[in-house]
Amino acid sequence: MRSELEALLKAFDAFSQAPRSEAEKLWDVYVAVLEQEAQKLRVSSDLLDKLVRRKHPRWVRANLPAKFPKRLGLE
Amino acid sequence: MNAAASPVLQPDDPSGFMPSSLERWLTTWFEVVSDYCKRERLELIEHAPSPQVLERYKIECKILLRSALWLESMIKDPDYPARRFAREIQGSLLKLESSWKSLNNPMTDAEADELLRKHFPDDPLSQKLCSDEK
Repeated sequence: MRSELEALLKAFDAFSQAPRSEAEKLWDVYVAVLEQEAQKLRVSSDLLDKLVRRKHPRWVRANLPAKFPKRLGLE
Repeated sequence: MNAAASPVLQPDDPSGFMPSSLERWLTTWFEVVSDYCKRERLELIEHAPSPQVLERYKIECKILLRSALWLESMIKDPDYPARRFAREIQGSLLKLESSWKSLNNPMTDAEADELLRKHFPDDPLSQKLCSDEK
């Protein structure tokens, strides 16, 4: 099952990796997912955006290929 | 003066004329922003950066963001001959604004963990992303 949290992180990641010509479109997708989830959780989309940005690197590092030299920022 | 000898360029000239110097300059600017985004991904997202690296990125992002805002205002001028690049300039601006927001995110890891536990209590991903989970 795909979680709402994962959907948010994936939408943000898609925007952050988008080529400049696609960035506006993918930003709009992220904002739509963000606003929908914020409404559901009864929090501001700004707060949820900050949460996504804070946890995005950790999520990316956790999903890197096994042999990728990763540091999770835990040291 | 003979007007035919020095043609006045119209904003959306069907010939699509754009001074090559401007095209080269914009292409270089796009490359610089693209390089910044690639390094940001590698050094700040895929790897945990040191505070010094973070500070360097803040300075670089601020400068690039200012140049993007300046370019955005130029592109709105109907006389500016490179309006066909508007979408790419807008996209670059969005990416730099987002980078700036991430670099200056006031939310701490502890606050983020608290929100994850409160709003996504049953999500295994939430537990995985909490800072005290190894």
